[in-house]
Amino acid sequence: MLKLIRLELAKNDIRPYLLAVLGITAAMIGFTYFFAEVPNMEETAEFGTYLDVILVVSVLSMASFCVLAAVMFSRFVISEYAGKRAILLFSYPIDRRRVLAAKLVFVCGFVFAGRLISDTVVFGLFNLTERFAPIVREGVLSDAIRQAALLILVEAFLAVAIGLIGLFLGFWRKSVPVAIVAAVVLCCPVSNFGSPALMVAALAVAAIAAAILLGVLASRVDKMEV
Amino acid sequence: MNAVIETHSLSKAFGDKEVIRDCGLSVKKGEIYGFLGANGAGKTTVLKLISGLLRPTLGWIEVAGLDVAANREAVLAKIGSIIEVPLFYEHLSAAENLRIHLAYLGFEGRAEVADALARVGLPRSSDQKVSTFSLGMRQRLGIARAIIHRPEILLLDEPINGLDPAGIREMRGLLKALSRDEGVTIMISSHIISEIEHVADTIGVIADGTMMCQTPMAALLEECPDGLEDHLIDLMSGRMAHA
Repeated sequence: MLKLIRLELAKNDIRPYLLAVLGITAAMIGFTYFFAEVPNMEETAEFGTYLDVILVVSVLSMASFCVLAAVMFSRFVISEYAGKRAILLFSYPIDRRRVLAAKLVFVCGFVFAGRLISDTVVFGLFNLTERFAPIVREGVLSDAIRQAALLILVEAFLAVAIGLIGLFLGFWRKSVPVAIVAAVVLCCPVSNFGSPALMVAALAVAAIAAAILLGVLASRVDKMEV
Repeated sequence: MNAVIETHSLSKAFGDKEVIRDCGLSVKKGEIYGFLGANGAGKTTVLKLISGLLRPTLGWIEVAGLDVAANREAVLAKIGSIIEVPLFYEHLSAAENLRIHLAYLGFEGRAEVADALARVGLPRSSDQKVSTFSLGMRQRLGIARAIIHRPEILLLDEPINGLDPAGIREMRGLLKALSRDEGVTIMISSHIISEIEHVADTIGVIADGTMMCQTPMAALLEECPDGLEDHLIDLMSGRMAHA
């Protein structure tokens, strides 16, 4: 499996996706300082604490990584299996399901790690600057990060699970746009849940749905004719 | 000689449309089998069925004594192929594409890559990306990819597409050498009679999904001393069947 994952890395140009993670990270840094400044710009109680800022930025980050996951799944799976390239992929003497699994593990790992690294950079930088020149007046940032850590982890898994559901729908319709739009549409209600309990419930439902759909996808690929 | 590829009562339908009907062909070990047919006759479909890319609606296929349906991976390990247009990872060089292909097949080796590139007349150490290759260079690279792991069987679907006359002659020489010196069994499809005539030991003709004939070249030449073209055109257009 590791060898197949390494081959995915070798044959695909992942620079655009690394740049996307960098772009998302830069945007989230911008959003973090923007939301932290909101109470200073307007007389509002919103975003008055570190936890408020972290929660809203983490939701935006989840939405961004959902789209990245859908785009990567589309490139690594739908484009490979929907077009004539499938002939090449199916000419290797390797179980088709193992090749598919390698692609999925690679993309899931990339998106998950990308999300965690991105958030670490964003909140790490914010933590650093808040020590020297604080913007937010209430709360302790490190406590807020600790409180939001589980939620961020749940959201990182959710981004991958929603991307996988989008992948299945895109694969079913043989369409990259369907995969991306499905991920965006699914991401919207989940982003508005707010409550950590609802997020965990959403993750459980999305994970079960993704697991079932992946089973169907693997079977389809195994029986595919090109 | 033993048959390395055998199809038995092979049929394939897409929906209601039957595109291959009761096709029985037999390719002997080490021979070059020329598979002739007009465009749309079913040549590519038969090659896809042999390599497990399609499943038969009826009948079965044996490759090297293995039932393709039950031993897909084992059969694929014995085959090198170009089916339809060879596709590559465009942002990589020819050598990088071949190294990835070898790795998927379970091999590693720079020597094999250099050897395969040299055999098809592509530069060994070029960093040129495949996206800048001409059609002829792509076809050469496709052939290099098909032969790089020294397969027992080569399935080549219209392999001379895009090659210039000198390239066609080089490929002809390469295929003959692979068959003669290395005992590779080669099934080559084409709609160009003269091309098949130059290399094949046996000719099979398919028309509208039905095998019209399967005859050793020597017997055909004996039967048609004035040239094969008219006879084969008749067969390819389905106008007559040969025993």
